[in-house]
Amino acid sequence: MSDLAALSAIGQNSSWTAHLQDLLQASQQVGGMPQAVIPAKVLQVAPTGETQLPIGSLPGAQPASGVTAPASGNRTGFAEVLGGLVSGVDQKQKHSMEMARQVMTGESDSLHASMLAMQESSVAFTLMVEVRNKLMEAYQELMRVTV
Amino acid sequence: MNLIPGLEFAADGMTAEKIRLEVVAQNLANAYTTRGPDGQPYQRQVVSFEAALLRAGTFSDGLRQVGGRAPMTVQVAGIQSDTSPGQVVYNPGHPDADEAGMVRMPNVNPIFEMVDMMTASRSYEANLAVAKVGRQMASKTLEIGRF
Amino acid sequence: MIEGLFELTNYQTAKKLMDLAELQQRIAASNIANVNTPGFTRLKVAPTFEAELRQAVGAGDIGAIKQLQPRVEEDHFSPSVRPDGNNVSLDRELTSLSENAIKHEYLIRVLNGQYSSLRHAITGQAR
Repeated sequence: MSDLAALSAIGQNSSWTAHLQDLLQASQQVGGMPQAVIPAKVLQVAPTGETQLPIGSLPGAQPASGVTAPASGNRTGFAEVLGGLVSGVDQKQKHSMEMARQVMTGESDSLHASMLAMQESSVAFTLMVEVRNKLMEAYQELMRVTV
Repeated sequence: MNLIPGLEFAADGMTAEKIRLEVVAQNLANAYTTRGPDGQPYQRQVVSFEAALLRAGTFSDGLRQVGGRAPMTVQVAGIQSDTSPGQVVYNPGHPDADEAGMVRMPNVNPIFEMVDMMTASRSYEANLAVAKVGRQMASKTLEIGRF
Repeated sequence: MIEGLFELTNYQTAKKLMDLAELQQRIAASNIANVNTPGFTRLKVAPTFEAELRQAVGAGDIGAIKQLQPRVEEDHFSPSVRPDGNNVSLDRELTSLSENAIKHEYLIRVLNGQYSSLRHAITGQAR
């Protein structure tokens, strides 16, 4: 068991939470864009790749009229982050499906690779759904702000 | 398609040891056969094993070894006769005694055969253990993600 | 961002060690099947793998961990050599077989724990 001694402490829940908080914070940075622009940016998100993910059809979203594009050249808006999220999840899903296909057709005999890929894609998908939920909450909260 | 790791090696090992056991049983049964179909005393049969590569190409696709040795399976190279002469005993009343009253016995030593039998049996059980452990590993692998 | 989710030393190490456990099971199976093959030299995983893994983990180099590949080589230093040249010891192989199985199961628990923690951190729900 000597090579297992290379593993550090297992119960590092705090490191996972901190890790996720960093990731989520990075996704929530809007970098000073005007509030009215946020709904438009959210609506501009289109799913990349051939996934049929619900994130493309945010319920209750209508095009707001008279909304202008963001003034600054800020690159880290919602669209890019969500796009990156969607393509990352898409990659994981594709990898997982490819591994499952290989195991089923007999090309690969690595069961654990397929199982781990399935878990990774499931976790990634969960993350994306949570991010979407948080964004929806934020959007709805903003819409409740009476002008 | 070897989803259960080590199963083909275990199966080949069990087949080979089983053949050895059968040959040992045949030797023991003929330990006193002084006249066979060819008129000669029974000659002890010996099984020879050899290491061989697995027949199908898919070995551990998830893990490509960089210029290493491939694990080998075992197969029975052949069953040869042991040509060493058997004991000659003085037994003039024996139907197969020659003019001098000497009978040539088969070159089967029951003690050696019993030792072979124990070795083959122990090896068979070891291969069985390999198959069992491999199956348990695969079964546990399927529980990844089931907390 | 998704890629970053799994770039943790513990997780990648556990994945790599799981590959190793499967390989060692196959090698043990091969050795045991050939316990009575004359002249057979037992196989083992090259010890450099463990050293390199330990080093990469110590340095926190996830890319290095992911790239590590174990090598299978002949073991000429096994203490029990029989007259026909076969140096497979059935007892040692069987004990390493069961130890490897426990190791494998332990890694599964480690990975499950990490997925569970991750999901907990994401959704805020215990299960």
